[in-house]
Amino acid sequence: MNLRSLLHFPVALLCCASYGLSLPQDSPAADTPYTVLNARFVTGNLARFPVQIVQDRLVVTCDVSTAARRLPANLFIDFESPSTLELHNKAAQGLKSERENGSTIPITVHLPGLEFQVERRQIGDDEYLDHFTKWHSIELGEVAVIGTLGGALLADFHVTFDLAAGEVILEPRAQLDPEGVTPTFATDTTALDINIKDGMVWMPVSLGEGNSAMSGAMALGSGRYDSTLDSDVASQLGHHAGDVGLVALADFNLGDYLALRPAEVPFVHPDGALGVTGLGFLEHFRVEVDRTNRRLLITPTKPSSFPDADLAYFQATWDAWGPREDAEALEAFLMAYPEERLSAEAATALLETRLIQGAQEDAVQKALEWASATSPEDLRATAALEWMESCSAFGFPEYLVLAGELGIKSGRDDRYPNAVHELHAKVGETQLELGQGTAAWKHLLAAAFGIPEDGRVNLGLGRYYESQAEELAAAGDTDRALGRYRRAFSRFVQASIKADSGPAAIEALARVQKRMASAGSDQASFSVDLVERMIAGKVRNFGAATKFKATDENTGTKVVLVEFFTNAFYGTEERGGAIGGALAQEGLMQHFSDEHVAFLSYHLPVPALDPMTNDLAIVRAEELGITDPNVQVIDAVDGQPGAGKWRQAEAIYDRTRKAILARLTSDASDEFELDLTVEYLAPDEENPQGSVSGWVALDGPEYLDMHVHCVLAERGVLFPGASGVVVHRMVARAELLTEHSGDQHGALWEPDAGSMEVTFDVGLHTVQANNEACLDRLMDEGAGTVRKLSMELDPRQLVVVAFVRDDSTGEVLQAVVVEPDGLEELRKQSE
Amino acid sequence: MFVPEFTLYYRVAPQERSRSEQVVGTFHIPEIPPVKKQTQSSFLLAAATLIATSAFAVPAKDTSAPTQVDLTFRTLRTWDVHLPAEAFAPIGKTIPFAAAGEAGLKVAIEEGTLRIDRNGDGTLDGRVETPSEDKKSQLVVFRLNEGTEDESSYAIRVQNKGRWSYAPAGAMEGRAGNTRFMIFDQNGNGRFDDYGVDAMIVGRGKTASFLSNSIHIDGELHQLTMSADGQTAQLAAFSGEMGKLDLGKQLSTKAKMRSVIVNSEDGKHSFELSRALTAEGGLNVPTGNYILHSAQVVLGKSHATMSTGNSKPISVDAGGTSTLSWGGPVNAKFRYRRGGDELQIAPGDILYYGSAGEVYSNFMPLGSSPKFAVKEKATGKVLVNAVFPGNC
Repeated sequence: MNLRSLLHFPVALLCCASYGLSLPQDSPAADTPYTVLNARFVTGNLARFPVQIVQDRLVVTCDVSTAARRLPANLFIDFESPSTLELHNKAAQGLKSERENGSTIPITVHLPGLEFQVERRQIGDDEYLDHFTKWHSIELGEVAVIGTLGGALLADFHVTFDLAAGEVILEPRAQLDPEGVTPTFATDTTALDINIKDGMVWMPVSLGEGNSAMSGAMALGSGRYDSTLDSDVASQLGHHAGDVGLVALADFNLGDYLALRPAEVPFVHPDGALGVTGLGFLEHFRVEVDRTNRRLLITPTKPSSFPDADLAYFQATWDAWGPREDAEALEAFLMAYPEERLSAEAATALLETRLIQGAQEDAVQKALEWASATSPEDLRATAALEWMESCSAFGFPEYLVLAGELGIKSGRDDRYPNAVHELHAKVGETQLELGQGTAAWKHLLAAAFGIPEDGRVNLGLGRYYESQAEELAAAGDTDRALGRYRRAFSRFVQASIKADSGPAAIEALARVQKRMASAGSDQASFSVDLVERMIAGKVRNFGAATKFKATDENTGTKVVLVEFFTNAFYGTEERGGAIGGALAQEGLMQHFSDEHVAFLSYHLPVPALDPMTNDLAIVRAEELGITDPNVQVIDAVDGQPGAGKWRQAEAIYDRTRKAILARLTSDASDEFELDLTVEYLAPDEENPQGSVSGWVALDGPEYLDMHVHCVLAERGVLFPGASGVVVHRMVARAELLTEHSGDQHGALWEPDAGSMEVTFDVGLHTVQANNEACLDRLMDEGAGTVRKLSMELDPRQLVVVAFVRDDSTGEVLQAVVVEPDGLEELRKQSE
Repeated sequence: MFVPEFTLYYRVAPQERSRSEQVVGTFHIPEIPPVKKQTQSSFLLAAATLIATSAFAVPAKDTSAPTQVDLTFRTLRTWDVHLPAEAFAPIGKTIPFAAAGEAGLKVAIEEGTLRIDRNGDGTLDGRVETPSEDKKSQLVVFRLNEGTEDESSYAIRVQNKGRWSYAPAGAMEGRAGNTRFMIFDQNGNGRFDDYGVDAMIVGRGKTASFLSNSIHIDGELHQLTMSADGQTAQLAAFSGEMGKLDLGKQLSTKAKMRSVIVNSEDGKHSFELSRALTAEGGLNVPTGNYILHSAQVVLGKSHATMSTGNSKPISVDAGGTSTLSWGGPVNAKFRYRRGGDELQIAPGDILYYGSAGEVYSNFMPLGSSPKFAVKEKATGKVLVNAVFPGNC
């Protein structure tokens, strides 16, 4: 018997003990899959490993491994965390530590001097870990932080924090003190009785003096630099900023060493959870944690030196009502303490507060300068990107330009070389919108040198050239105007293949092409084919190595129907999604001719609406029981994958090709004759975009329950969604028999002497209107929003696919593909 | 660390296994001794703004005329508020805000970005890119009557998860006596007078109840009437009957209750009780039946949420004190599906019930799984052991 969990279910479990809803204990139960296994000290009975403080976090460099792989890693050490080993999902994938059925491969943590295993990891905060690594990559030795060693793991050891020596020492848990023997310690070491609650180490502490003194407990922590004080307690004591004076811990007054930071303390303790100590405490004291004997050995390692700057910051940001946003107080703090540990935090707060206030330019400029001055020199350009985002979101494009220009000054020194190009791009884009054309052009051009394929940069440059062309055209300088239009057209083409700029670029291409034509250009008209030629080599593609060669053995009368369900926003080019299926389809269309295989693609409204979604797609998906845009269906009886990474396209192609080959010899169509005749009619008053007219005829057995479908499709539709697919193939646009049937289900087989013929005459503008109405309805129903691009059908791309469906089984019995008459001439005219 | 174990007893009849299986899907966590509550006077003070000072629950006297409190909008730069029913509302062409009139605040979606008219001048001057995954949402601030004496602001958080949507990023803030209160337009309709739907924070702290007709001002219960635009609140001494609600007395937990929301059955009253849990005697509330709506349980960076589940309404009678036994011990129940020779159990199929029938869910961080054992009913022999994968 197999016991299988559902892999993708979003809800997770954590043992109840973590929430105090279960057994109390002071060390992990031995039989859980999260605790330390097979701990082995490499030499002797002690592991002494170097640690460093990076941006207020304690970090150890080590390796993690499974039987499959070994990775260098940095891990946070969070002594107060109830978790065990937290790991980034990507790290767990790299280690191959988890199988689909829920079973795991134990993960080994290789600390200097100590190795141990954990059967299962817990999930880390992936986004935070990624951001931390990006910002501190140099301090981290270019090795990512991939997780956290939590307190629940460290509880198995005798732990010593000796940050003055830059190390943490792990030893086996101590033995109980012999009865009747009083332990002795070094003269400068103080022993403090502690208690253990929920696996955490709690130290008795008293705050303040005299009648207002308060006693309680503080947890020993290493997860942040600041030692925290419950903000409610601080408020009760009348010291909102945490400046409670005496903080008595054993014989020490921590108030001489630390400024306590008001914060929520997310723990409870019977004596009162006053706070959690941080790395600032451990920087001043060597702390040895003897859980067995419930004892802490504390040795001062650094003379007391009260951090006035820390207190000043807490005073600037807290008042009787809680946290406060006071720009003047923040600015005063920065003036007094421009280069302290909390200065960068203060500068960020100052900038955001100024923006919230809607401050004037000089105040924002000053705040930006503080933000820049307090950022690491080699991250100022990178940081400026974040400031620009804030300025933009708050509705101050002019401040965005200020922030960008400030960042550009530090661009050469930035550790991320692309940051300066991105700054140029954003500044240029914004200046263009502000009507500062020439300045914008300079920035956009500078950006284009570094990030030439960036969609927004090309879109911006295109718009700039287009505006120049219009000025020249207005001035009667047609030749130069055409030159600018050509430049604009070229930039728009490059922008059209990127998701973030594609929709706007497509509109611009159509617009510019018309203006070029009216300016006397005799160049080819805008079409999917033209764009496809221009973007060749810049987008993913997949070509079939061979063409299908039909023989009597591998074919019969059957034409196979392959229906591809997809969506322009399903996945991304990098991560995979619709791109894998779409590339495989390209290969299949090259391999098989229309004589043998008919292709149709339907765009579903998930995960986001795309403009090719229509009623036909939704109904056909319902008929086939399909909900996700990731499948190819062959003759309605065989499903093949329709999504994956681009590099998986060949595998999808191979599988689908084989499945099609198996169907080509089906005798399902032997009793049928399906004929289709279609003609394209040029635009007239009634049909301003033209129309398709014709008939579909079927001969077959009268006793069968069947429907005949006749689907109008386009061979290529240009729409760059997020999926990386730019040109969508064989897009089903309309069921042509709806006038006959009244719905999207095709025409019911109602034979007369074994034959049936259904005629149709459908205006392309009607198809567009119906599809737009469908999008409107879906948007009203809450399916999201979408720009109605690529909605107009290009007659040169039209094709009609008819097929016969057996109502009892759903199987597609026969199909046929026909290009409407009249398109050849149309294409020639537009070339 | 304790990891719950599930046992599925499986009676095997060699020839007819599929029909004779019998599965028992409950497990029990041993009872936890109740944790001694903090009784230090110092900790009682923390809840001072919430706790009625009267020694006995008696009907309050209407001794004072209603007073009006003016409120102004406060933007919260960093969002660490816990709303009882936070939901991001889809963004259309405007953001409703009663103080801005019927037209609301103009926004648009262009080229995938959200454009905002920051100051109501008709120009879309703000551009919000889709917030990064680590940022999740972006603060957006609108300014009304810019440059005039009546200048004010309004703020929302926006996100784009396939569709742009918004939620409050601030509240109308007012002060009465020594009590500060904040009213949140939780449902995003632009109004601040949707009782039982919008949200409010009374006193210090970051956890909100639903907007209530009654509010504790300096420990005394008052009737609260909000204006639709949120700019004024009318406060009058509460004149109805009151009783005490003490949810701390019989709560069994070793974690911190970051928030505890109770709602009156009629939807008029709502209270956030986390700071009152340690108070002796409970909190004065209007009489009636109260439902344990939700709670957030935290321990360090781990947290879980609680919802009503099967818990019964709590009746608060005039002059009486009502308590509820809730929290641990926790029982878990789960469903499973059988397909061929496979049993499927999904994390979401497991419900953790507290002693009052309340349900705990959304445990974070992820990755800790219960252990499942499938046993033969007759012999007790373990057929299969399993756990969930580490990514769920």
